[in-house]
Formats: sequence, C-alpha cells, structure tokens
Amino acid sequence: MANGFLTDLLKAGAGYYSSQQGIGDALDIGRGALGAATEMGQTAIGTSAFKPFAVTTGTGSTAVDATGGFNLGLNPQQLAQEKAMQAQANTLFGNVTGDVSQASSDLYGQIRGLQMPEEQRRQQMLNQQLQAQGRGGLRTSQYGGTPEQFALSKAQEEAKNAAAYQARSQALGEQQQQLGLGTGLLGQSYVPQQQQLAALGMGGNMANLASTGGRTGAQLQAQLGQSGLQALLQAQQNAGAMRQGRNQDLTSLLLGSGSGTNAVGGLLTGGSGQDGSNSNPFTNDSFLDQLYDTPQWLKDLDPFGSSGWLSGLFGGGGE
Amino acid sequence: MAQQLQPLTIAAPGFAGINTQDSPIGLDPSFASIADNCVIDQLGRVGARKGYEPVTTNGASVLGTSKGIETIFEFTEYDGSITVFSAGNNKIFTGTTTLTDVTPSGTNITANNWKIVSLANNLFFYQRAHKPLLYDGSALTEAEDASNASGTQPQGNEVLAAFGRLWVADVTGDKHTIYFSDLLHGRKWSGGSSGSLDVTSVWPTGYDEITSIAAHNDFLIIFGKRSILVYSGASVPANMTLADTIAGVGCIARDSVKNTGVDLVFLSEDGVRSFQRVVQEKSMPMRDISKNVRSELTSLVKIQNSPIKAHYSADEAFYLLSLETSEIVYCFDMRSALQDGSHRVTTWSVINPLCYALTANGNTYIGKPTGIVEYSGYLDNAEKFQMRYFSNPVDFGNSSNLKFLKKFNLTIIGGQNTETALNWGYDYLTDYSKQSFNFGTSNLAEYGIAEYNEAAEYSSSIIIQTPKVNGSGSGSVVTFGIEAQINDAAFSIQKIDILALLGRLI
Repeated sequence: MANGFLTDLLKAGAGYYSSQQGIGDALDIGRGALGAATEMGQTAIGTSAFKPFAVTTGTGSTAVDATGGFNLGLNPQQLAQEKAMQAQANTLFGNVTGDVSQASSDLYGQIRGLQMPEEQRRQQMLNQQLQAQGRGGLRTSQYGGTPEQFALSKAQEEAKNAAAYQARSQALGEQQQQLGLGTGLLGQSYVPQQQQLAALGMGGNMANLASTGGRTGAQLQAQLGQSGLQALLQAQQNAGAMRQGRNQDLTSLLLGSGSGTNAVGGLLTGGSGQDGSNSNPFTNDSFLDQLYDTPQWLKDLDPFGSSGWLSGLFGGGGE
Repeated sequence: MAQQLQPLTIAAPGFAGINTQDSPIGLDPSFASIADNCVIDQLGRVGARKGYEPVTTNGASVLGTSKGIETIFEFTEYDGSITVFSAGNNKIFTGTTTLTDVTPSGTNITANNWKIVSLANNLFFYQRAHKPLLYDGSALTEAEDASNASGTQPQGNEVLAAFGRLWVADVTGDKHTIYFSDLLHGRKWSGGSSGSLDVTSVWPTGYDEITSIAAHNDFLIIFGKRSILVYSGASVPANMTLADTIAGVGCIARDSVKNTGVDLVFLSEDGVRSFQRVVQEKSMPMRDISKNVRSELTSLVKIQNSPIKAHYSADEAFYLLSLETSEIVYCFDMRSALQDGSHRVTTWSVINPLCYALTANGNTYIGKPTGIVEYSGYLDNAEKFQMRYFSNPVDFGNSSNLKFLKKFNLTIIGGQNTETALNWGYDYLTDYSKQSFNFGTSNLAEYGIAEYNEAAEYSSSIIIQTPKVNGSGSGSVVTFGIEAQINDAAFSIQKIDILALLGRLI
C-alpha cells in the first residue's frame, strides 16, 4: 500500500514533535516552580531571621549576637567576687587533698595539749604519793615501775590512742567539711553567672515574643506561596496536557488516525472517497505509493504499527 | 674497945655486866668494870665463858697462811641433809672435820666476806664485787651460769632471803638500790616479779648508803648508815610501801644484824641497838643495848679494819659482837634487859673469832685460823684461859669512912682445878693486892656413871667452892676482882662477903 512508510514517518515525526513540546512544557513548569519556591524561601528567611538582643541586670550585661553566641559580661565587682570565692574554694580544696597525717598530727598536739595539764596533775599527785610511800624508785619487771605508775601510764597511753583516733577522725571530718565549704563556695561563685543566665533566659523569652510574629508571618507566607505554587503547577500541568491533546488532534487531522480496519486517513494521507475510492497518493497504490511503499523490514519497524514502538504512543498500529 | 666487923655482902657481883659509862662512885656493885671472858650464866651470875674445841683437822693444809675461816654457813636441804659451807683462803669448802675445796673452777675469788643465804633449796653466796655463787644441791657454780638464770646478777655485798625471794643491796657504785629477784628464783633477776627499789630520795637524813637489809615482823627493814627505812607489804614488792623512817640511827656493819625472834639487833654508830625498841620509842630518847659500854665500844668500832661479825645463840642467850682488829668480843646477855633498856654485857678476849655460825642443833661454830671450831667446853683448844672479874670502886654506901677489908668469903660455883687470884685495892688504884688459891679437884656426880659411895667420890651435883681470904690495907673506896685460869670447868661467882672494919672519917 501507498500509505505505508511515509505515513508512518510523518506520524513518527508528529509524535516526536508533540512529545518534545510536552517535555519542554513540563520542564518549564518545574523551573518555574523551583524559582517560585526559592523566592518564597528567601522571603521566609528574611522574615524569620534571628534578631540580636541584650539583657542587662545588676550583675552585668549580656549581649546575644546574630549567630546566637553571647558573652555573659558580668560586671567587675561580680567578677572579682567570683574569683575571690573560687580562690577560697581552691584553698579549701587544697586542704582537702592535703596530707591528713599532718592535720592529724596538729590536731593530736592540740588535743594532747588539752589533756596534758590534767595528766601532769595526776602524775604529780602520783609522784607525791609514791614519794610519800617511799616507792618512787620502785621498778618491777611486771609493771616497769609501780602498779600505779603502770595504771597511769596505761591511762595516758590510752588517752593518746584515743586522741590520735579522735584527731584523725576530726582531720578527716574537717577535710570533708572543707570539701563541703569549697564546693559551696565554688557553687556560690557561679551564682552571678547563673543569675545572669536566668536573666538571659527571661530576655530570650521576651525576644522570642518579638520574633514570633515575624516567624508566623513567614510561615503563613510560605504556606500561602506553597499553595499558590501548587495551584500554578496544577494549571500548567493542565495547560500542558491540553497542548498535548491539541497537537495530537492536529496530527490526526493531517495524518489520520487509527490502524487496520479502524484507520482513518488524514488530510495528507487520503481516504475513501464517496465512491469508496482511495485518494491518498501514498496508499492508493500509485507511483508515489509504490515509490514510497514501505519496505517490509521497515514495516517491521513501524513504530506506529500494532506492535511498533510508537504504536503505544500514538495509539495506533497495524497495517 | 675493938670495933665489930661489918659484913658487906655482894650477891651475884657483876650480874648487871660491865658498866664503864657511869661514875664509879655510888655505882651499884652489881655492875662490873671488867668482866672478861665472862658470860652471865643462866642464874644471872658472872661466869666463865665456854672455850672452843677444834673441829677441822686439815685446816693448815687448806688454809695455808690465810686468816682462816671467815665465813661459815650450815645448809639444810629439803631432804634434811646438812652441808656446812665455809670460806677462807679465797676458797669455799664443804665439811667440818675435813674441809673440801668446792670453789668453782674459773671463779676469781679475792675475799672471804661472803654472806650466804638459803632460798628454795638453793644456797646463794654474795659479797662485794664478786659474782654470786649458787649451790643447787649438786655443785657450786656461778649463779649466772646456772640453768634458768636470767638478767644481770647483782654483785651486792648484802643479801637477804625473805618474802620468797632474794633481796640484794650494796652493789659497788650503787649503794642506794635494792634489787629483788623473781619469786622463789634467786637466780632470775629479770622478768617475773623481779625488780628494784631505788631509795635515794627516801632517806630521811638526805643521802645515805644501804648497809644491810632484814625482814622483821613482816616488815622489810633497810638499814642505812645513819637511817632506817621500814617497808610494809614486801611480800608483793610492787605494792610495798614505806611504813616508817628512822633518822639518826643506822647500821654500820652488815653482819651485825641478827634476828632474835622478837627483836632485831644491829650495830649502829653509837652502839648496839634493838630495832624493836627503836620502833617503839622512835619519838623518845634513844636507848641502846650497849649503853653501859657505849664509849668504849664505839671507840673500838671506829678503828676496825676487818669485817665486824655478830652471832646470836638462843641456846646460850647471847648476842656476840666481835671486833677482830681489837681482838675483843662483846657478849650481850639476851635473856632480859636491865631497867634502863640496856643489856648486860661482858667481853671475851683471846678467842678472837673470825666468824660464827649457828647449827641446826643449836651449836655455835666459830671460824679460826685453824679452821672450824665449836664453842664448847671450858678450854680454848685444850688450853686454859683467864677469866677476869673486877668490880667498880664501891664505897658500900659510906664514902666518908675508911674501910679496912679484913676478910673475903667467896662463894664460887664450879671451878675445879682452877687457879684463882683474888684482887683488891683502894681508892681507884690498880696496884691490887693479890691472894691466889687453887681449888682442888672435884668430880661432879654423873647420873649413871658413878655410884653413890662406891668408886666415885661422893659429891653433890654442883661444885661449890667457898674460899676465905684475909684482906689487908684500907681506903675509902674499894675495888676487888677475881682472876681465874679456867681449866675445863665452869666457874661462876655466886657471892662475895667482905668483912670490913669501918675506920675514922676522912
């Protein structure tokens, strides 16, 4: 038939053109949506951007910069007090980590200093008693001296032991106490900072109130822009589809549509006359039809045929 | 008209012993100025002391040229066996008849002034600057070498076994500390209940030196030279306590301290004293046992350069104090005291004891250059010895009249074969008139030996001599005496009757 190869070629060309137009339209829609979204983002950024602020209290003035960083900025008096307390805490911590033996020894000396006057009185009384009894020079293997001296010495040694134990316990207790005091001082030294931070938190809340409107506006703007963009995208999709349909209709008008028994000839591919004759030069088996009769191998490649690769695209196929 | 003779009777002349302290005029004639080689016998009369009989037979060979036996001690062990230890010639011997040298080999002994005590069936020897020796029933060794010995054995000059332990004092270089051993272990000087007592600051007179220690009436008596410390509770030394101090009276001779059972006799600087009396009369003027010979005794004591030894014999009832340097022994009768608290005292000469020991059967051993002798019999090693009694000058209560002694009627108890001389003189002069006489031989009847009116001569149980001597001369005060060569027989002066003619007043 005369309507073989040429018709198919035209159909392919028309289809390709129509597809290219559709692709181009889709890309244009995407680009347009991207540009609109970017523009809306920039607008939102500008609207919701952080605005630096400062908090000033009796302990100092804290300024928050645009990046969110801040310097507490305690006043010199508070800084000096903080350093002094920390220095005192360091001193206390130094005592905590110091030699407990030395502290115990010092405390032992103090306790013994309290005990010794009474011990000396007792010793003197015993010496007088022993002297009166003529026993001052008594030395025994059992007791070293007299039983009374042994008892007194034993009591003194027990007192020394108790004093040593008490001194060590007290030294450890004092270390614990110094640790507590140091910790307390250290904690107290940070109170101005904590107070300033608390004030900063309050200032941050107040600043947040001011920025909430901007952020809400930007959010609403973004939401509205997003809705408009979606509507625009939907409209452009519809416009593209309609353009695609229009091109398809024009192709079918010029080149016909369908295939096989359902094939309808276009303006350029002829069709059955009133009499049933075929006026399409490419299918009426004329010279042109014959010249351009589609070779079989090409038919096999007919993209618009019933099994060709364009058949699906153009909905046709067949002979 | 001739005057009647006045009888002047002196019963038991000199029975109060020697009195050289009081003024002779008006002195009780019961005192004597001389009572040499005399004792106060059991009836309160002046009589001759006993002599001595040799016990040792080998003294010359073992003692050589040394002074002789200077220490004797009789040791009775738990099983009743008796060993007599003696020391002389820087050796230690056992035995009495034959002295056997038991000196520990290697022990350097340079003196014989040992004090020996017994404790827990052991015998301990102590003297100054010498290692203590120990006899445990088998051998004599240095105490530090004995088994179970511990600590430093104090080399004291004084040792006492009392309250179940040894007490040692007078250590060279440390004369103020008493060391006491462990209970019942005289060789253990460390550990247990051993110890020491330094009394430096206890002396009531300031500083003093311990010379002797004794146990009496459950007290520990510590003698210094010039003071005495009395401790109670010494049975537990750790708890013993000073009970009393006595100042001004001390002991100057270690071996003068003798316990008589109820009294403690010792030699102080001012004579022989009784501790019990000192304790009783500590707040009163001192009285001393040797009061009647105080000056003579103390002057002799000061010149002694040999150890002063003493001896107490309950059987003989005397306390002997021998002054070796002066070759005199003071014999104090311990039966009873005179009214002034002093004891009757006589002297012994010639016998010259170096030491004494009392045996378990009550005999008295005496150390002599020849060895051990026993106080027994009435001969000194088979030789006669002289007994002397002289009265103080007496005026018989009438100092203003001349006395013409016409006759002496003597009553002597014993005195067989005894050459006797009666002496009398006047007005304090010592150029006595003498009249000697010799008592005849007379044998005492002995129960079971002689039979009445048979072979033996009949006699009474005691010999009574009643010589009569005519006197001569005159004077206001009279001194008389009797000198007798004691010849193996007792001799006691019972009575002297003097028939005198009182002359004009002077």
